[in-house]
Amino acid sequence: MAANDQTIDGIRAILTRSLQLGSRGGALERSTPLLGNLPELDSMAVVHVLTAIEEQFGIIVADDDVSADTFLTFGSLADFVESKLAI
Amino acid sequence: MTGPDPYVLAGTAGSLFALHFAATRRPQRAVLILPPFAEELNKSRRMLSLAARALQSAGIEVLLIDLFGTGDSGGDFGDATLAVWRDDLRRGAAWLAARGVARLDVLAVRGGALLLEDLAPPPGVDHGRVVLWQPVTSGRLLIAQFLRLRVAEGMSSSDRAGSPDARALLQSASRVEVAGYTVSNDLVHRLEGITDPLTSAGAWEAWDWLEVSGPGVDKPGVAAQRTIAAMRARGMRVRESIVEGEPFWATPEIAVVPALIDATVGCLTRSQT
Repeated sequence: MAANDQTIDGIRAILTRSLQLGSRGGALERSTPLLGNLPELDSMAVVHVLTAIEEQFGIIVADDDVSADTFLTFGSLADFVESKLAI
Repeated sequence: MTGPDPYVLAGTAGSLFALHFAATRRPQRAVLILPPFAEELNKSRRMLSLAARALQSAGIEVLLIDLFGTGDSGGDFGDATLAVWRDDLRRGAAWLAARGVARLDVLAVRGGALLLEDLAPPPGVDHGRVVLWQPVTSGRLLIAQFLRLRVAEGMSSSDRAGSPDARALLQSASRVEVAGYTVSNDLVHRLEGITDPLTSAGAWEAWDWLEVSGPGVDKPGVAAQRTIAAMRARGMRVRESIVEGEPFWATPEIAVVPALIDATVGCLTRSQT
């Protein structure tokens, strides 16, 4: 499910804060690759981002969701969160 | 003199490395730090050091112990148990009492809040104030986040399908390796068993629940608010406060939140009883 603007803004804020991206956060687009592209996104950062997402969006992320597909791009992450909100 | 003096304390399972930030006058009050868990401790060390120095300058002494199997203390993380950690903290409090401390305050940081369960000052020492930094009050949540590190590590590995689930490993083996930390089955289960460390945490004078958030956030998250409400329902005096800053316990680069240090010194110097 394609993420709406509010979800995209929320994910952008979480990534910017958790990964200390600064102005690079504003440059994230749906097609921007995350895993393998952002050096800050190590396993600890993944956990922190997921925790922040869980707390902010009120969703629960299962271990199966923690996959390379979810973190492929900014868009895929936002869409993943949107799909959890729809449940 | 400012800055810490290193000490080695005798712990139950092995010697403990501790930093003591002595007060310039005869100590009446001291703060015992309850440290965060695993990698969050590493990332928080700068903030803990800065806060301890700030408190020291304000005349309040601080004791920061590396719990057994962590930091510069003896032992391996994989041999650490909850019982030993609780005893390490009791010994730290007793060491402070032997120096003449009459009132014990606590600074519990992140998962350190779980160790508040069953923590009491030694006989003859009054309960002081508890300051909480972004506390994790559910052992299950702490462990879920910690074990998730292993899942996240396997995310970019091509043979992830062959890597057993951490919980499955813990059932068959006594230990599992997560993000460079070997952790025992026993410690995982004991920590997960801590469900409500604060509301039955005893007669501490008052509580300051401090959180660090992004701009525009003026109260803690929903789960935190529930815990605070439950504490107040038991008659506990809880004050909550949000400061703006980075989540220093998790950021890739070491971050500092001066506002949190200022708030902490304010909390502990305001109360003079």
